[in-house]
Amino acid sequence: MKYENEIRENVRMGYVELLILKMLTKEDMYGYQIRQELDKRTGGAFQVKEGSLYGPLYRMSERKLIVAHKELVGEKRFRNYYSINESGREYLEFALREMETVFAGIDMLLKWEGSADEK
Amino acid sequence: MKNKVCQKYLRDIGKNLSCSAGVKHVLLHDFAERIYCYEAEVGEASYDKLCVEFGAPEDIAKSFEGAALSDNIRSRAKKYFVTKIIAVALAVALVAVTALLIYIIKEASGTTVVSDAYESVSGITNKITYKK
Repeated sequence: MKYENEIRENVRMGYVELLILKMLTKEDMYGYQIRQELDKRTGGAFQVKEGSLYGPLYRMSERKLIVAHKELVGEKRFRNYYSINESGREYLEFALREMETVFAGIDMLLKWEGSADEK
Repeated sequence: MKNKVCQKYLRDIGKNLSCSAGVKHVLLHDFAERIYCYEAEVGEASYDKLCVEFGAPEDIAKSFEGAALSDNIRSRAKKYFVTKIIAVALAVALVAVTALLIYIIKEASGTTVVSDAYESVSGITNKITYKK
């Protein structure tokens, strides 16, 4: 289909920030780990390239929803771990409530089979 | 050692970002660290391998769309810009001082040679004059 990639990209990337926040409530994670967990925890529905995660991670860091810290791996290599903070948890909680409302509405509309002039 | 392929890959991502060099540097800082870390783990990676593993440069650049330019980014970008200017100025100064030193040394040795040459030429002239 002509718009296959565009739809896949837009639908998925819209939720990536929330899903990352949700995963970070369980433990601090680094980029590659986030990618792996995202794939695993969504049953393969969110197979994103690792590079595409750094934009959302960066935006969330700037909005102070998450904090990045370096940890030494091996002898002299550092790895950036991301952790959610209190404002990130509040943001997630509010966003998930909104999502539930929106999804319920979308679900209702998609199941609607009546005519256009139905009241 | 930073691989040229990795540098090109990061440059290509930067090309797709419409912001100043300083801001690009700040935006891509964490990702650049990850790429160099990956390179250290797996050894030299080809450009295609980086695209398969991390995504196409344009897709990565797209993921940064909408990143707000906070005061923090601006100040970090400014710091990067100032550091770069100072580094370039120091490099230019170093080249200039080196060039000046080389010139002075050459000039000094050149004078001696000229002096010797003058003396030897005048010596020959004297000798010729003497013979005459």
